[in-house]
Amino acid sequence: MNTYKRPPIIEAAIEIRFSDQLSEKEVDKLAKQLKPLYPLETPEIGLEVMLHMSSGVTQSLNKETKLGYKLQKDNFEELLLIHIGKVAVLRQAPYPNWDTFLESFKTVWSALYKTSGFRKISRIGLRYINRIDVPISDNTDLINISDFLTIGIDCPEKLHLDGYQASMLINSYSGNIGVSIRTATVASPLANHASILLDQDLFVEVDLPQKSDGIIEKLNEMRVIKNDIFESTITDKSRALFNREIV
Amino acid sequence: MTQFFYQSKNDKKESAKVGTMDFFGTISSVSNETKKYYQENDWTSAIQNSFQEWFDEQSLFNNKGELKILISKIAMHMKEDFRKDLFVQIDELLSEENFTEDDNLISVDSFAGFLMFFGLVPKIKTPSLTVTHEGNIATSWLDETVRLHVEFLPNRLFRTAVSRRDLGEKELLGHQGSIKSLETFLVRNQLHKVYANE
Repeated sequence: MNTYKRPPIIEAAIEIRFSDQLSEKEVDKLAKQLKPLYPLETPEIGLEVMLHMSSGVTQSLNKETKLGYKLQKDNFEELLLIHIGKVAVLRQAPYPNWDTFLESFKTVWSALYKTSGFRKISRIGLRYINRIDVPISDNTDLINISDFLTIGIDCPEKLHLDGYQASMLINSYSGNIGVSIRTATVASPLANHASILLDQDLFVEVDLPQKSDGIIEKLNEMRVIKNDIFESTITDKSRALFNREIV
Repeated sequence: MTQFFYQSKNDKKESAKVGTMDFFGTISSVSNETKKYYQENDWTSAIQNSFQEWFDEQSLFNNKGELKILISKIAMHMKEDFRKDLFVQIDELLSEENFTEDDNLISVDSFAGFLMFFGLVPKIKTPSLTVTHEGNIATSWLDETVRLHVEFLPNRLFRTAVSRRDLGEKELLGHQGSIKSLETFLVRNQLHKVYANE
């Protein structure tokens, strides 16, 4: 497993979806329990708009539904989504390490057990969004994507693309673990850089473990596969960029 | 008719007051006890103030979040201390205690411009951040003799002013341009040492 001085991860997420939704009361209880750790709270509201048209008259009915909460840590680095149908822990850069990130999830999962008891799950998701920032000189804004990624699109040399996006889906990459990979060019937040996105979304939807230990074990397994896929989709030029000293 | 719930912020022991008020602020459908309370207190202003306080807190919170998340998007390129220093300064500029009605929220577009500049000069020294009347972020660096002030305008533009501290802050140089040309301008004018580490 490679560790980098400038890991390109801009966001990491662990998401668990439930077969049986949480009640509004359970969502409130869980949010209250986790508030000391995630003090910044924003309710998540869904808006349903219905349009009735008859005899040339249009009536609209709006219905607001409370979906759950978005809770954040003081520094906005970690975010927790508690919805009636899912819980998700999201980590913004700088990414600490897997153990720290997984520990955050374990805390949330244990709080869920304490407040709501056993809940049958329907999906485990592990997502890592990476951005490769490539320095470019003032004179050129062209980069060769294949210098940095081993996946993408192939096109004639005379076509100078302004941007692209491609996505790939492998339903059973390893056992019951599926993978969706998306890569695209994105506007760089840094001047004189070009940026490429590499988004890995691993998921399990069949033969799901239901006990906590099994879920953690599956997440560890997904993480190994995520790293393996990541290393196979980047080139040494990308590795060199991630290993530059921070000055 | 709109129903309001109001709790006196200054006196936590004060019981909650519930009443209804029409759009013109006329109180009706309240108990005599409550009516007496409202007659003795400025009910409309209290609601407006309470709403304004909530609105300000929410706006400050949202603005802090937007800026910190923007920083996090390039956090892998920053030294931890530099990032933390920026976080501290954002917290100070947008703190509920320090924020007055003359202050402005920070333009996300302007702040993104400052972070773009970081891409040009990764060895940048931690600047002192201020907010202009237009809500733009402005950065200042000082050395023994020079004060360098750069305001990051929307649309990736900048405005800079250089003054000599030993000549009573006499302005020597002013310039406006696109962020991509900022470093060239600063290097050409031998200001590199003021804002960047060797």
